[in-house]
Order: sequence, then C-alpha cells, then structure tokens
Amino acid sequence: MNPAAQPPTVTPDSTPKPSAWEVMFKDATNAELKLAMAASGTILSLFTAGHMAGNMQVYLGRKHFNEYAEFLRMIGAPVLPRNSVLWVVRVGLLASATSHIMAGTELTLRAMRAERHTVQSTVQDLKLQLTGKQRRRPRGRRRSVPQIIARSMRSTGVVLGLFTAYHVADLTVGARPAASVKHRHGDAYGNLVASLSRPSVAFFYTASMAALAGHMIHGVRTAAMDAGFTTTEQRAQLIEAMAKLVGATVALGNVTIPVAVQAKVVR
Amino acid sequence: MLLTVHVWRQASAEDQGTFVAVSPVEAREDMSILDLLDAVNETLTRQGDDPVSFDDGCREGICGKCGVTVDGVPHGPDKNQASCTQSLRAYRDGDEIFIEPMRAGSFPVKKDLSVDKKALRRVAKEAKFPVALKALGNAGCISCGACVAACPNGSGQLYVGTLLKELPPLAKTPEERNERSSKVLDAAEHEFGPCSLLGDCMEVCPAGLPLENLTEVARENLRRMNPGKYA
Repeated sequence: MNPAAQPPTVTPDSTPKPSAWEVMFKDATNAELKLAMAASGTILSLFTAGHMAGNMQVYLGRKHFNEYAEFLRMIGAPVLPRNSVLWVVRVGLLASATSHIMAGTELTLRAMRAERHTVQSTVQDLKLQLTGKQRRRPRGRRRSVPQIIARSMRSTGVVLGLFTAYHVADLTVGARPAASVKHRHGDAYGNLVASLSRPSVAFFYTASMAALAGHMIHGVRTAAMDAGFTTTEQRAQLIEAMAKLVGATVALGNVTIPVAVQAKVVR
Repeated sequence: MLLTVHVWRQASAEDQGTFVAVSPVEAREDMSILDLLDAVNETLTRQGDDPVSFDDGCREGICGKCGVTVDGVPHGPDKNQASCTQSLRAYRDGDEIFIEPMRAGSFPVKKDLSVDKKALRRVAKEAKFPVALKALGNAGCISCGACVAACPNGSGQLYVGTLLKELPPLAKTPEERNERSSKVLDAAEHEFGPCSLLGDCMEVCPAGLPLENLTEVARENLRRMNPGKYA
C-alpha cells in the first residue's frame, strides 16, 4: 500500500496538560526553592535544638521531666486553652517539613533533568553503587567522609523522616507496636525509659542521630550559602565551624539518653 | 610505565558511545592528560585505527578549551589543574585509566572526547560581550566547564556566581548592573541545575575559584526579589 495514501495519524495534543506539581513549581526559580529549603530547614533545626535542650531535663528526675512535659501543654494558659500553643507549633513544624520535602523533591528532579538522567540511567547508576562496581576515582581523589555525608542529604533525610514518624508513634501517640507495652499517657518519663529500654529501639534512635548530625551539618552550611551569608572565606569557615558544633551537640546530646537508659543511669 | 587506557569512542553526537581499551600506552609520570591522549593516538595509529578526537588548546592551562574526565574526575587526578597541566603521578605501571568526555547535561558530546561547551558562553553572553569576558578574566575563570562537569546536579553555580560577583563593579549605572545580573540568573536557570554545596567544583577548578563565589547567586537573586532594598 502506498504510504502516502494512509490517513494521517492523529497525534494527540503534543504538549500534555501540566500536572498539578508542575503548575505549582512553574514560576519558582532554583534560588527561591533553595531559600524555601533554607527557611524550613532552619525552623526544623531550631526546633530540634530546642527539643534536645528539653530532653536534657530527663537527667533531673522523673518528677521534673513530667512537670516539664505538662508545662509544654500548658504554655499560654490560662489565657489560651490547654494544648493550644502545642498544636500551633505542631502545625508549623508539619508545614515546614512538608515544604522542605516538596522543595527538596523538586530540586532533585531539576538536578536530574539538568544532568539528562532518565529513569533507566538512574536505576543503572544505583545498581552500580549498590553492587560496588562503580569505577574507583584516582588515588588522592577518593571521596572523604565529609564529602560522602554532604552527598547523602536525601538518604539521611529519608532516615530522619522515618525516624520522626516512629518517634511520634512511639512517644507522642503511644501506638503499639512502636510504643512499648508499658506506655501510659501522661507519664513522659516512664514512657521514655520503657521505650529506650528495648535494645533495638535504643540502637535505632542512636543510629538516627548519626543521620541527624550529618543532615544538620551540611544543611546549616548550605542554608547559610543559600541565604547569601558566606561572602568571605572567614565567614564561610565560621559558619562551617558553627554548623559542626550545632550538629554534633544536638546529636550527641540526644544520643546520651538511649545510652543512659541502656546503662540504667536513667530508669 | 605502560598503561591500559580505556578511551571513550563516539562517532557523532547521535551515536551511542562506548569505552575502547587501548594498550599498551607508553607513559611517563610528568605527562599531562593531553600528552597521554597523544600517546594513545600513537598506539592507535600504529595499530591502524583512527585517532581519538579531543579538545586541544594552549596546553598551558589558560585557554579553557581542553578537558576530559579521568576515572570520574573532570580534568584529571591532580586538584585545580586543567587536563593539559595535569600529571600522571596518581598512576603506577600496569594501571588502567578510563578517559571519557566531560559529563554534563548541558555539554553534549560532539565526537569521542570532544564536547560542546557553548552553554557557558550562552550564559555569559546575557551580560553582553566584552564585559562578561572581562568579568570572567578578572576572576581568573577560563570557562573550561569543569565545575559543571564535576557537579552531580549539573549546576554551574561556581561559574555563574563568579560572573555575578565580578559583573557589578563593571557596570556604569545600577540599572545596568541589575539588568545584567538578572539576565545571567535567568539564563543560568535555563542551562544548569541547582547547587547543593557539594564542593566538587572547587576541587577541579583550574583557577581555584573559591566557595564564597557560590553565594553570589543567592545574593543577586535576593537583590532582584527586593528591588530598592539593597543599595
């Protein structure tokens, strides 16, 4: 049959309708998305630092710790009803986490697009990485641990997301099997000890804090860069040192708790 | 020393490339990567094969034309050196080396190891020549594109940030400055990916451009978002 005689194939509209995701990020530049990451990351970091400081009250004994837990629920009282400030903070944190994850996802997609990665090539790269068959970099140029940590923001971020979900189910909601059998609402100290007395849970909390340290250290220095602070070498070094100090302090402070519970110092 | 060099062969931009092993290649420690490629071509010619194409230039590290990826590192194993001023001190007799083109989404391969780095030029051109070239020259940037190739995000932020840092002093009026910066930002957005401060770019840059330049993109963007707020 003469190919010219064939009826022209009807091509569907060549520009497909943009998805809701594409519409949402259409006008956002990379720099703006990175500012959103920096802002939401800073909020989450400030909360994490404050949370760690609060956690340290566990060393002041059961009574004090439970009073502190009750105080968090009573902030704003008697003007505001019980738990109101707590819920404002919770909603703010959830919004920050959501925008952090969404902006991060979009930036990752843009990076992959800029490198012309396809689903196929990404799977191929992952396979090489997981099987250790990647070609080695030359002597003197193999990646250092800080470099690997900096490149693991997405992995550490996923770990932190899973950790947070577990942590809330364990000690806030008290949902089993995340929470221990002895979980009882209102006894924050008892719940914490009961939960971290389980060795596997203590290990998971400790390991997650390593992810937190890595994510926070690279996050803080990147946030400073994205907000335009690192204009001189001295400033960049200062921020680098501060990032390491903050990340390490928060993570180490938190790690002491599962260790103390396992060592029966806190019981 | 005798090396086995796996060199990237790709007939044209549309073709699918592959590594081809060339052996033995007679090399010395003080050879640059381009000297090594010359040696590869000698071996290939002796064996009756076509020589590989690669970007070649001044061989003094100042023109920015050359650049290949050696074992996954743009330019080669030495830090802050162009391919033509590298050494082979990282390698020992009998080693295998993989040489491929500079890999970046915005740098399509033309043939073998030769790539099209016009994306850099397109961004700089938004600030109008010759002022853009003057700005890059003032910073020491040779527009070799290694920063983009080194970045797993395909970001050119070291290049763009350097440009944005050096452009303002060359502008006669604030309006001119804002217009140039804004156009460069838009073009960079179109050509390159976002920066994650991984620092690979600073290790490969032959000009040794510093980390501080990265933040200029954020600063110029903030300026644009808040007109009149910054003098």
